[in-house]
Amino acid sequence: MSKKRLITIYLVPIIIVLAALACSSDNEATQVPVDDAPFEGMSASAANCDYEGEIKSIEALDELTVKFTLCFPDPAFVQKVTSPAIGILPTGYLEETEGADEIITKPVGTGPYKFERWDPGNEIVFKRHDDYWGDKAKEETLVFRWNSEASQRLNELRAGSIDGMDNVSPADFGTVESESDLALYVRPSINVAYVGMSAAFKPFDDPKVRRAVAFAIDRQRLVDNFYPPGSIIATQFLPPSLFGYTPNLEFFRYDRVQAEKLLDNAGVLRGDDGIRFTTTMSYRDVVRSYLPQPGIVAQDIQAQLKEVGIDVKLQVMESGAYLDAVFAGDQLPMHLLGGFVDYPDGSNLLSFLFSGTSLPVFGAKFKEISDAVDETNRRADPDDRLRFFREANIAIRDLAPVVPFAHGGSAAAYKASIEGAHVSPMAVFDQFAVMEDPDDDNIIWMQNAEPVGLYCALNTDGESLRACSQVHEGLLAFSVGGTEVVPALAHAFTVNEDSTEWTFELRPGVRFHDGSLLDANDVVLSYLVQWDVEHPFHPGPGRVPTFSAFFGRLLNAPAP
Amino acid sequence: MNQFVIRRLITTIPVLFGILVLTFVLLRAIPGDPCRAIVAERATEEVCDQFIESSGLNKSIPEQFLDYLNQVARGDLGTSFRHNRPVVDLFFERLPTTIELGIVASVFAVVVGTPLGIIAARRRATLVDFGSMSVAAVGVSTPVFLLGLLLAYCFGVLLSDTPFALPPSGRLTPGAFYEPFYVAWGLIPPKGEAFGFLVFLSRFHILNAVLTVNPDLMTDAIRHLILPAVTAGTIPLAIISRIMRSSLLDVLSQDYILTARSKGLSEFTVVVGHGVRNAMLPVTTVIGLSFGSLLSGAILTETVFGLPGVGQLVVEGIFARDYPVVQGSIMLLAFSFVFVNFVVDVSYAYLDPRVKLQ
Repeated sequence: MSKKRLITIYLVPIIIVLAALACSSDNEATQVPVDDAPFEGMSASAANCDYEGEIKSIEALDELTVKFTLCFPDPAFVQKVTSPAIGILPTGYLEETEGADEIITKPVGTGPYKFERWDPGNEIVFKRHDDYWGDKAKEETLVFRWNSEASQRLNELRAGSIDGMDNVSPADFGTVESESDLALYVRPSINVAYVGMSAAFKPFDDPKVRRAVAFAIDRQRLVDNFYPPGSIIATQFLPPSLFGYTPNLEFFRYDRVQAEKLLDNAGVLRGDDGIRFTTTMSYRDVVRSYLPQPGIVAQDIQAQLKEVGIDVKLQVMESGAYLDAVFAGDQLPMHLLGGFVDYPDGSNLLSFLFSGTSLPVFGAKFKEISDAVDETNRRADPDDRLRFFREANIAIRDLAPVVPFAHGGSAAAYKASIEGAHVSPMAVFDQFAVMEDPDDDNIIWMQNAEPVGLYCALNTDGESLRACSQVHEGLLAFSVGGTEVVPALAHAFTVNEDSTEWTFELRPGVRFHDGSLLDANDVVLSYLVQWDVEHPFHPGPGRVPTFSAFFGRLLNAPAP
Repeated sequence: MNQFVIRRLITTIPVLFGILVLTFVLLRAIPGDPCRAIVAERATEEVCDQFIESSGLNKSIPEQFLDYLNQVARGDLGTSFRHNRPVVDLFFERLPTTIELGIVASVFAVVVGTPLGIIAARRRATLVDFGSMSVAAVGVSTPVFLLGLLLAYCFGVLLSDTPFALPPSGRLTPGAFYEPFYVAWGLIPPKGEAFGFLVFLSRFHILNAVLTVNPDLMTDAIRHLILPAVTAGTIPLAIISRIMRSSLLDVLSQDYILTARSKGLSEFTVVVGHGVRNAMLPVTTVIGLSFGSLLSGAILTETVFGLPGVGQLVVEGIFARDYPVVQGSIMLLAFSFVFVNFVVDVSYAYLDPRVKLQ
């Protein structure tokens, strides 16, 4: 082989490879770093507001400014954007995961803790986010565990293997309080338990009968006997800690004589056996903070109503079937239920049952109530809203489709040595980052159940939302242990006069757990994937319940 | 023998199909709306309608069944409504814990139950017999959740500052992380199904401790299994001891035992060598069935002790009306139950040649 040929054989490929490398490095060199690229703001908007949703458009005005335009005023908008169900995720991560699989099990957010690992069924471990924009988490590690048995959670706490537990059984409040190395934290009641009556059934179509039931129920007795400390008697539908509560509203006091008089006036007289009428009260045997002992409470109400001649048969139903029957409105004469809030505004509790678009849960629409409730949703001025809340609360009292009787308390327990331990009224906002365990470098928390997933757009269970809120943050947040809205990813916001245009200024320099920097496009995309059903990363029809509940119909949703 | 095995294999097919049909029908017969249970109690009608449609629950039951059958035939057990993840992934994440619990509970039941039955048979009608059988009766009749909670309180709280302290719940110490054997062996980064199988194996914590020679993990994993295993194993223990006792009593009254004794063999050889060996046949069946039922029946134990097993997954699935999870898990559990029974039958045939002829 000649020298020339040898050179050709060896040299040509080398030159080609070198040229290719040079070209590829050229390509890399020509890629302008993202930080220096001119910012191209994303935006999304509905053609108009006929689609029956709340959001008209979302726009990234510049790198750190996001503007929401609403179809109608929403005074609770600032509270809705606190939700971990609408946490802000990095654009790159959303594109990489395409909104599926890893997004549920390996979340990336901006929160004080970052996801470390999930041992399915056993525990989730979070590590301190060292680049956190605010005060860094006090402890390096946060562990979430779960056990459905309250007694086992308490056993773990007493054994010292965990630092805090949720939902102390009411029977164990005394035990926790009596042990010096444990501390009980009672969660303020932001819920309501009530007896509902359906006007589709006689004699509940007569408001006098419904008022008689309200007079016949001794609410104090129910709270004293069957509710844990921290619970309070309901004097109206909304609890006192909620915006929209009307102070000094005189409610029906327990008065058997008055109840009997009203029933007589309604023509519902006692028969020979002393019974005025027989009805059925349904309930589900599901423990909630508003109804910690459903069966016993139902039995006591049954006994109380018997005293005024109302013979109540009790019917226990499976939870799902029960809710379906309740929401149908014309299937159950009486039901025992309650509700709690997703955000601390009275409209959240009232709208579901009493707005103009609510299902006729009580067998009929009560225009006096729904008109006032709808106004509380439309008005921006707080004083205006309070006036309509008062109207709604009075109408609920007078028309009495429901008899609210208790705002149930619940409690968490911690080792007494844990500094910064607290409970949030909105249970999902417990902030473990401010807690410190002087004995070691972790906080171990045990709740009722395993989170279903860590992309909480998909979930409504408190266990998932609490875990999500350690990792994901919204534009705003609630104060530690309180309900005051405070800055989070947005350090400031402005709103126009009629509360339809909200402009949020993002905090500069916020880093996601994957190291990327927060910008306005992250906010737009995080909202858009939930809002727009046709977005390629949208989780699927009916899969974003919180977003739907907060903002109505989704963009491009198929017609019902 | 081959014919026997093939015949037994064929009979498992209608059993599994029957379970599939029964589970499918029963789940849909339970009242309750998956949307209210999974999406949100206060989900709007529109959201629920969309959810029902996207989950295929708007189709008629026969259509849903055919769809499901088609899926299963392709080896796809569906995607969890609640977790948005494949059922197979969820099941195999949880299976190792259930198998570990089943094995340790079975070992406990056999190791304690068999000698208890032998002693009771040998000391028939004495205080020892009465005492051991009373313990067995109490064991059979104590509810699992009660026994579990009592043990957890006793060893977790009352004895917490003593060497007898045991963790009240959980699979491992909170926050503890132990390296999987495939990482320790430098097998990273394996991909695909092989990796999935290695992850599955590494979730057997005791096995992982052996493979990584990690005494801390071994201690931690065993300590967390003692109370659940005792709880789950008590009922099988009681049954095994009672069967062992009655079977051994029956055998010890046989003529060949008399012959053995008259030959001058030691009592130990007579009882263990001739008596126990022949009395083991019914006990083997019970052990097999107990292990099968431990696999599928660890629901209460796993719930009380917060163990991440299949039982816990099924319970959560039932409460959430997560049809794919319940159907898929029960199918796989039924398969393992049928498999264990198949193994027992085959071993029975091996131990007693007359079985083959029947």
